[in-house]
Amino acid sequence: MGVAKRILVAEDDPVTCRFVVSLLEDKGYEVVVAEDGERAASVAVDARPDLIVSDLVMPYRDGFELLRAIRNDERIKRTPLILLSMRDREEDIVRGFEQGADDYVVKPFNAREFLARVRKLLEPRSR
Amino acid sequence: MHRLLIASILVVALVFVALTLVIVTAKAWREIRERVRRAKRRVLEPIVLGYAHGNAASILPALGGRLATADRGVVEEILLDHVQRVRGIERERLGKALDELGYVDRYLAGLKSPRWWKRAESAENLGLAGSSRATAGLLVALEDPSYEVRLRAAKALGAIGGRAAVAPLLRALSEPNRWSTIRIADLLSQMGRPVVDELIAAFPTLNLHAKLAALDILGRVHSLDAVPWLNARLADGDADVRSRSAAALGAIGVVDSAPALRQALGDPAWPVRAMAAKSLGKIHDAEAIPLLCAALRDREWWVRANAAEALKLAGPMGIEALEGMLDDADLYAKHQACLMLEESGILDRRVAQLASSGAVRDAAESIVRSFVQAGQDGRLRELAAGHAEPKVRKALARLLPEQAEEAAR
Amino acid sequence: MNWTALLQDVIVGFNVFVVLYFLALNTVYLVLFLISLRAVVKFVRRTFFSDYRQIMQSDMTWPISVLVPAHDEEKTIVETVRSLLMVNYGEFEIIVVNDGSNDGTLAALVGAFELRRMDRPYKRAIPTAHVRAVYGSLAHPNLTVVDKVKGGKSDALNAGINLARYPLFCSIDADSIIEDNALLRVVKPFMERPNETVAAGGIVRIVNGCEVKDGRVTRISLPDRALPIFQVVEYLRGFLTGRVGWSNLQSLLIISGAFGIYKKQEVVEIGGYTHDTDTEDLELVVRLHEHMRRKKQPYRVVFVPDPVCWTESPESLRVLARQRNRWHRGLLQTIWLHKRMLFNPRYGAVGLFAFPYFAVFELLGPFVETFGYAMVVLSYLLGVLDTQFFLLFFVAANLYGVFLSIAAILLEEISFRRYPGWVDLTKLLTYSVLENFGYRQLLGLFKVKAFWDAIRRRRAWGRMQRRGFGQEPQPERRAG
Repeated sequence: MGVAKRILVAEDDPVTCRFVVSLLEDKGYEVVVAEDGERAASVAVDARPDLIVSDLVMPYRDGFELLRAIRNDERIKRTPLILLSMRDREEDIVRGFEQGADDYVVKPFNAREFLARVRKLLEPRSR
Repeated sequence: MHRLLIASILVVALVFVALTLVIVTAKAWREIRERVRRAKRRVLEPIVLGYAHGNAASILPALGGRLATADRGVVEEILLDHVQRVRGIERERLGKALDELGYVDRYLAGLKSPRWWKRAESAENLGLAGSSRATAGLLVALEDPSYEVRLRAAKALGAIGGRAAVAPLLRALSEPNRWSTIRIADLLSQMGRPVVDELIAAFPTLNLHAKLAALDILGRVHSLDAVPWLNARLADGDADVRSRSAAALGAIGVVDSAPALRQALGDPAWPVRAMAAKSLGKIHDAEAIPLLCAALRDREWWVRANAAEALKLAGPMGIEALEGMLDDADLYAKHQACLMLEESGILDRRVAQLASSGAVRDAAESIVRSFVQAGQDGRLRELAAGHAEPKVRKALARLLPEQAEEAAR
Repeated sequence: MNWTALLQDVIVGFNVFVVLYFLALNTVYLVLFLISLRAVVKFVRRTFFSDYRQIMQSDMTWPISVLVPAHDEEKTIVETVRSLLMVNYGEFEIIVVNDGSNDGTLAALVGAFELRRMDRPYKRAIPTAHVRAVYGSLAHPNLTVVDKVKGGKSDALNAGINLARYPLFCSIDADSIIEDNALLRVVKPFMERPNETVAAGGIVRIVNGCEVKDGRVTRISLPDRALPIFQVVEYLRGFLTGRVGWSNLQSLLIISGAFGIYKKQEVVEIGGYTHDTDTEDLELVVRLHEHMRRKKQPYRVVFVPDPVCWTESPESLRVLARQRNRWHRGLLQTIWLHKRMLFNPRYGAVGLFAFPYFAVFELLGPFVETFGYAMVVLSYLLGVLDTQFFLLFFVAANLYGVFLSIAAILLEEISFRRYPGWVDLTKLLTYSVLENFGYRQLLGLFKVKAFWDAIRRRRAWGRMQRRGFGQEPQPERRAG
C-alpha cells in the first residue's frame, strides 16, 4: 500500500466527530475535519480527500448542499461521499441517494459496518 | 416608619451584594472546573475510544490499572457520550466498561434515591449502559410517583429490550392520564417486531385510546405479519379504529391491503374514506384510480384533498385520470384536479406543448381550455405573461379570456 | 381648616397609598421570582435529558404550519425563509403571508424560491381581506406564499391559518431569527400533554450585538449601546421571572407574537386573531383562556423557559417610545375588551390573579409611579416635602428594582448562560443597577402617554372594530 488514504469528515457535533475520527485514524487513514458544510466544501478542494463522510444536518450548508457543491465542482466531483444522518425515514434516505450520495448511514451507527462501507468505497473502481 | 425603611433598604442591599457575589463566584468556579475537565478529557477520551475500537477484555489496563477518583466523572461522561452514538460491538464494549468501572452499580443504587432527578438520571443511564441487570429495578421505577422517572425507566426498558418491558408499556397505553401515549407508542415501535404479536394478542383488552395507539404502532413497525389482521380491522364497529387501521396499512404499504382499502373508500364515516384514499395513494394501486376519481366528488374536503393527492402520486395513470377529471361536472373535483396538475408541474409541461403541432398541441390546448373553464387560471396568466417561448405566450393570450375580474375590483 | 392643611392631608394620604401599592407590587414580584426559581431549577434538571432527537424522528410528532406575516420585508424575508427551511423538525410547512407590501417583498420571494402560482382551494374558516394569489414552489414543496390585500398583522395571520394544513400553527415575526431546535423545544408540551395543551411560547431574546450569519446567530454577546442593553436586562426579567412564574400558576397571559405555537382548532373556534387591539398576540391568549374556561375543559398555556427566538430591539428612543406606546395601548384595549374577566371566579386563577395583576400593576403602575414623582415636585413647591422620607423611599424602591434584575440574571446564570463572557456579565450587572435611574422612569412616561393616546383615540378604535369583521365579502373562489 502506498500513502494512507485521506478522508474528510464534515460533522458539527464534536462528540460524534471525535468518535468517527478516532475510528478512522485507528485503521490508519489520514483524517481532515470540517465543522460545517461551508468549510467542508473549501477543505474538500484544498485537501482532495479520497472520501468524504458528511453529516446531513450542519450549519450554513447541510449535507445535501455540500453534496451538490461537490458534484458540481469539476475538480472533486468524483469523490465518493457517505451521508451520516439521524434521520431514518425512507424519504430522507431515498433523497440522499437521489442527490448523489454513495452511501447513507443512519446514526447511531455500527462502527464495524461503517468501516466496511468506507473500505468498499475506497477500493479502486472496477466498473 | 423611617427606621422600617432604613431596615428594608439594608436588607435589600445585603441580598443584592450577596446575589452578585454568588453569581460571580459561581461563574468563576464553573469556568475553572470546566477547564480542568476539558484538559482531562483530552487525555482520557483517546484511551476510552482506543478500548472501544480494540479487542482488550478490560478497559482497566489502558487506564493504568485503576481509575483515579478524580477522573471518575470525566470517564463517565465520555462513556455516556459515546455509548448513545454507536451501535453493535462498540456499544456493547462501552456498556461493559460502564459496568466494569462500577457505574452501573451506582445507577442501580441511584434508582432508590429520594431525589427525583437522581432517579430519573439513573434510569436514563441504565438504558444507555444497556445492562440487563437493570431490568428488575427499572420495572419498579415504572411505578415511580414522578412522571419524569417513569418515562426514563420506560425508555431504558425499551432500549434494553426483552419481553419484560412490553406488558407494562402496553398497560401504560391505556392510562393517558399517567403517561404520554405518544411517547410510549414511540418506545414500543422502536422495539420493533417482537411487539407486534403481543399488541395483536392484547388488542381486545385495550381501551379505545390504547387501541388507536396500538394501530399507529403497527403501522410504524412495518410488520407484514400484521397486514391481514389490520385488513380485518377495516370492518371494526368503531370508526376511529377503522380510520387508524387504514392509515397503518398505508404506512406499511403493501398491495395485499388494496382490496380492503378500496372497500373502505365507501365507508359511511368520512375520516375512514380520507385515510383510505391517502393509503391507496401510498400503495400505488392502479385498480383504485376510478374509485379515487369518484372520491374527488366527496362531500368532505379532506377526502377530496387526499384522493387528489393519491392520484398525483399514482404515476402516469393517475395523472391521466386527473386530466380526465378537468371537465367533470363537479366543481370541487375539477378544482382539486387543477391544483394537483399544477403542483406536479404537468400544467407547465402541457403549456409548453402549445408550441408544438398536431395531436400533441390539440391535446394541450384542450387541457388549457379546461383550466380556463374551471376558473383556475392563476398559473396560466403568470405563464402568459412570462413564458420564454413567444409562441406559447401568444397561444395562451388567445385562450385566456379578458381579465374582467381585475377591472371589477 | 385651611387649604394648606387639606393639601397636606391629601399628600400624606397619597404617600401612604404609594407605599402600600409599592409593597403589594413587590410582594407579587417576589412571589413570582420564587416560583420561577423553583421552575427554572426543575426545568434545567429536566433538559439534562434531551429528547429532541427522539421528538424529531418520531412520526407521531405533530406536524406544524409556520406562519410568517410579512409587510414590507423585502430586505430580510428571503433570509428568514431560508433559515426557516433549515429548521430541525420532522414535518412542517412554511406559509409566508405578504400583507399588501408596497416594496418588492413578493418579487424577492418569487425570485429566490422559484415560486409559481398555484390555484389552491382552501377553507375560509376565518374571514380575511381579499387573497390575491397563492404561490407554491416545486423545489420546496413545504413552502407556500400567500399574496393578499393589506389588512394588518392579525388579518395576515388569519389568512395563514386558513391555508394551514396542520393541526398546530406557529406564528413568527418576519424579522426574527429562530434557533435550529426552536420548534422541537416548543412542541414538547404538546407531545407530553396532547389533549390539554392549547398554546406554548418560548423566550424571546435581543439579537442586537450578536453576530448573525446566514440567518443564524453565530456568536452571542451584548450590544454596545446603552438602550438595547437596558432592554436585554428588561427581557431577562420579564421572561425568566415574569412568564415562567405565571406559566407555573397556569395563568400565562402573554405569548410573544415573535414566537408561539397554538392548536389551530381552538384558535379557529374563537375566530382567530382580532383587529380590535394593537397587540393581537396578547389579546388572542386572553381570549383563549376565556374560551377554554367557558368550555370548562382542562387546558394549559405553557411557557417553555428555553431560548428559541432572537429579535431586533429598537436602538433609538423614538422607536422605543413608539413600540412601548403600542404595547401599552394594546394592554389597555385588551383589558377593556375582557373586563368581565376581572376578579371573576368563573375564570379561575386567570380571572382572580393574573388578569387583575395586569390591570392593577402592569397597566396602572407607570401611572402611579409618574404621578408619584409629580407629587414630589408639587409638595416640594408647596414646602411640604418630607425630604428624608422621599429619599429613603426612592432608594428602597430602586434597590428593590435592582434586586429583581439581579435575581433574573441569577436565573439566567443557573440555567442557560447564553452570554459567555465576563465582560457581558459585568455589563448585565451594571446595567441592572443603572436601569433604575432613568430608563424605568422613561418607560413609565411612555406608558402614561400611551394611556392618553388610547383614550383620545377611542373613536378610532370604534371605527377599527367596525371595519374588522365586515371585510368585503369577496366571491368564493374555493372548492371546499
